[in-house]
Amino acid sequence: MRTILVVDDHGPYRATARALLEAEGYDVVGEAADGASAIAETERLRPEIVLLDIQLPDIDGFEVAARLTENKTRSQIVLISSRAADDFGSLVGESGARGFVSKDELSGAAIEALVE
Amino acid sequence: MTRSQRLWVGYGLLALICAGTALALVLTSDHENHPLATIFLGEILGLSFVIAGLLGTARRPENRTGRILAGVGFAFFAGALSEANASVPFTVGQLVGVLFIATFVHLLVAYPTGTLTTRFERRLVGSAYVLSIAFPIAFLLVARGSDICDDCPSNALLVHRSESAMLLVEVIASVAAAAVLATTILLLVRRWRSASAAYRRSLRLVLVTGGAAAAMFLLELPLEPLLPHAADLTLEAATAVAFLGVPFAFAAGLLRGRRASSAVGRLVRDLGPAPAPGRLRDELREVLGDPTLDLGYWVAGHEGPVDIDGNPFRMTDESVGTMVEGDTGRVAVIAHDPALAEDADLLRGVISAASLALENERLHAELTARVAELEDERDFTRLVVDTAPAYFCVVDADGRIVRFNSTLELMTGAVDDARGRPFWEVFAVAADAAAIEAALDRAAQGAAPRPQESCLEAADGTQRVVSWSAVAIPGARNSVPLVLVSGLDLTDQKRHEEELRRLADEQTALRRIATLVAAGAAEVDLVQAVTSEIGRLFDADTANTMRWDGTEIRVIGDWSATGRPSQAGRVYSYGGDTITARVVNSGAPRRVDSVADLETEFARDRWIELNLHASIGAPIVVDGRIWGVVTTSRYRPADPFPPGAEQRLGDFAALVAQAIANSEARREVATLAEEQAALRRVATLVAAGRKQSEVLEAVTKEVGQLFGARSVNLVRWEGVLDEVVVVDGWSDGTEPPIPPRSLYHPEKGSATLQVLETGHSTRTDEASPELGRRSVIAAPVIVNAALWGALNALRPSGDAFPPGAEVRLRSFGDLVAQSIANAQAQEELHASRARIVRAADDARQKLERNLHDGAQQRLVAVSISVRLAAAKLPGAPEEARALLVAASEELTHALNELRELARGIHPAILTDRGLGPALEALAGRAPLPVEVSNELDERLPPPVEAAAYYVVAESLTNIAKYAEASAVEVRVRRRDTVARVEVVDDGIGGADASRGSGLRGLADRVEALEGRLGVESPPEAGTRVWAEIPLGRDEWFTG
Repeated sequence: MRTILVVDDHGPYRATARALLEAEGYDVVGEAADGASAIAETERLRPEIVLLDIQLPDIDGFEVAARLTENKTRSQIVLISSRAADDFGSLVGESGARGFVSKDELSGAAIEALVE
Repeated sequence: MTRSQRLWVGYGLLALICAGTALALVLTSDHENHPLATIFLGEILGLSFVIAGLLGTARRPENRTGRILAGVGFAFFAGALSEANASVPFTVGQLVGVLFIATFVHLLVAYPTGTLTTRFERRLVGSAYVLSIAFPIAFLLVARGSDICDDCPSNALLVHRSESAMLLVEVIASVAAAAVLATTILLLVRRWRSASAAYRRSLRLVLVTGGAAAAMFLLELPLEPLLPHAADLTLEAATAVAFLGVPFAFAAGLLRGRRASSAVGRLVRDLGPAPAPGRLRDELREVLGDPTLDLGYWVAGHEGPVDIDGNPFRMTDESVGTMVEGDTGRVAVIAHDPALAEDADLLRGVISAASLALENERLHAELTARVAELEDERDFTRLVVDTAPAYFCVVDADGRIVRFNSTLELMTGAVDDARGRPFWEVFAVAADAAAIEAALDRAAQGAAPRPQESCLEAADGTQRVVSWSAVAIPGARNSVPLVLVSGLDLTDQKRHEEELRRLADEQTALRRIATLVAAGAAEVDLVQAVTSEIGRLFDADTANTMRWDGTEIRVIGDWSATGRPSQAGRVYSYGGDTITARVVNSGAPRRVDSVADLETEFARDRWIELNLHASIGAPIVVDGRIWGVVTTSRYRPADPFPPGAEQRLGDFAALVAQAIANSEARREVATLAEEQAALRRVATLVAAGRKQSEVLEAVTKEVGQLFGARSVNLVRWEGVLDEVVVVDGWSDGTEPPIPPRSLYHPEKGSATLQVLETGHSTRTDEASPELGRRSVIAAPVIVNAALWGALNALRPSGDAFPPGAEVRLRSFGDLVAQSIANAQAQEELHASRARIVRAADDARQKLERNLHDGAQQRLVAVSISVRLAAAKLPGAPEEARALLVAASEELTHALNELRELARGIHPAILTDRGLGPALEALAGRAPLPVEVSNELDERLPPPVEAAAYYVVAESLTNIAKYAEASAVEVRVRRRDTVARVEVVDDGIGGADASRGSGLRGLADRVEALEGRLGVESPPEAGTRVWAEIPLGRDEWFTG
């Protein structure tokens, strides 16, 4: 069972995502509502996967991904957003994340298609 | 037989027959009680009148008085028929018994001409005749013969006897007769009172006796019935006697005429052949009884008569003239009372008798007149000689003075003791004496007169030039011939000629200069020309035109008779007592006639140095200031300029002044044109919207070049009184310009500070510690009615700006202001546009964030929940249901959020229903009571509705956040082409419109529609936000 950290500033979405992921066999080890918490929780919980919302109230998801990559994190980062991937251009590829999943298309399969 | 003799024979016989008949009738009458008295008085009366009448008619046949007089006599005789015993003659006698009284009235009224001249006279006499016939007829119709007298025969005319009728007729007849007689007497009295003396004399006897008789008749009328018979007889007798006087008076008058004629004859004899002048007139007055009589005489050479003293003779208006003519024509005219003309014979007799005496007196008058004429002529000649502007002197054959006229006496002061001295000693200077003596000698020899000019010394010491002419006097009565010397004083004429010649020269010179002035000759050429003309015209040795600048004198025009090297350009210090200093000090023409006239050592040294002996000078005055001086001088000792020369020099100076003024005016026009061109160049930059820095740079440069400034600065006032910042500067290179953005403090009293204090252009002469004294002009720069700064220009102190430069500088200040105002407006526009764009960006960003954070997140969550529920539905339907319920709630939230967002983008109700309903909707959602007062009854252009809506929406948001208000009122109305919306609250006030982007954004929106937004928010008194938005743009409707 893969461990996963859900990072999103929108509480109802975190709850829905947790329910969906757990239903699909993931172990949701933690949640974070902003960028700083996301980095701290990743360092502390060392989840296999970090489901990271791009738009956060303090630092955005790209920055969080860059810092985590910079910190040599072993967690694989999947960026999520309610916007379309096209809206971010090449930023997703340059961020160090494994890939991007639109929030409404979130599913275990979508995540697995991106991570090792 | 002559007419007179026929008259006498005819009428004389008739009178005798009448007298005889009357005598017979009286003697045979059986009813005459006093036959003797009747015969005596009747015959004398009748015959007296007839004889007097015939006498008068024979003597004055043209006069009818004699005939009327005779008529009285015959009428009287006719009355004698009443003495007849037979009825018919008695009755006729009664009928004509009083006719003689009417004839008598006729006589009195017509006397002395025998004619009735006025209508009144004719009526009076006519009344008398009618009464004298009518009343007897009336009486005889009602009276018997016995009613007339006891023994009278019967009345042939009796119709019916009536005592009362008789009485009535008698009374009426008496009253009428009395009226006629009284009127006649009054007429005579009046005629007497208005008659002249001579007339009275001819009237006296006849009128007195006639008037007396008439008065007696008048008296008899009322008294006859009252008196006893004896008294009545006495009265009648008295009346008859008075009546009898009339023909005798007439006869006496005729006799008087004859006496007068013979008296004149005697008088002339008494006078003799040469009576004393004037005596004849007095004698004639006496003889003819006319104290107004006067005599005029006809003498040769006079148009009218003259009196005995030879003076013109004037007749009075009341007199008439009778001409006396002799063999040689008119001799005299006798002016006398018109009454004398009535007695032509008498007058003729008098004239005839006095003709010799008259001729004598005429000769006397003629002599007197001639003597008077000669005296007048002599007086006139004397007057001419003594007052003529010529000299007359009579000398004897040796040239010694006999007499001379007053003109010569007054001019030379010669007095009586000059008589007997040689003419040339008294009336000629020594140098001319011999020539004059020779001329007089020639004249004494009978030579024709030949003018000889010489000088004589006048009483005032001056010399007069006289042209003498001498001629022998013809017909001198003594043996020594005399010579008349007449002289014409030519001094003034020669002086005038000299003056005219000088004036002509001067006019010619002035004309030459005026031509140069008119041709706009260069100042330097003109000055040189004037200087040369002055030197030549005033017969000078040197002439200078000099410029005076207030401290020193610089020679700008120079002329010398000897052709010395030019002094032009030489500079003299001003001072001392030179001619130039005198002219400058007095501002008027001045003269110095010798070195002795000079008061200071300095001036005397200068004169000796320059070898001057006489100078004149005059100021050149331009625009009321002394611009320079012209002087001209002579090197010759004791040869000063003629009197008044300095004033004439002033005429030349005035021409120079005119030329300089013209030249300065031309310079002024050129300056103005340059100024206009500079202003146009700058204005073009401003109008083209060029960068402000470029415009300001151009302004300072143009001002610098135009005003010939050393430097120009544009400074901005920083709001603190003495602190300015240099915005732009220009320098001509002599000193570096002040760098832009330099902060400095203008000196107290400086032009710049004065402009900042007063807001007006000014000029000063100020000292700068670094730059020394400078002349400064400064003008304000006023932008949008507020003082923005000042423009100033500097020059060295000695080269001050021309008058009015600071006023002209103001035009450039205004252009600077315009440029700054344009730039500010542009800047404001750019800022406004940027704010509008930013506001739109902010709005979109906010919208995207709201969508993303709100509805989008919820929909994402719903999407996942639905998918999760679908997955759980087969195995865990309860969980699935719970997920679907949660999803449904999320959808509701999402929907609400979307609705709110859509409303925030643009209220649909505003588009669909207009401003009023949209504002009502806003009010409904507001958290405090809002009352909307909407006066609009039509839709406004969409941009206007939107702007108004957002003004209200933003205001309500602000009120809810900050105002602490309890109620709000929103008012919307339209005034002509402007919509006005107001939001008024009762909150704490104190809102600051400049803070916060909300109101600024609203202001931009309103101003973009060319409207205005205002906020009034005094502390503790609520806030009023208002906007006025014009409706005018058509594209807003179509757009």
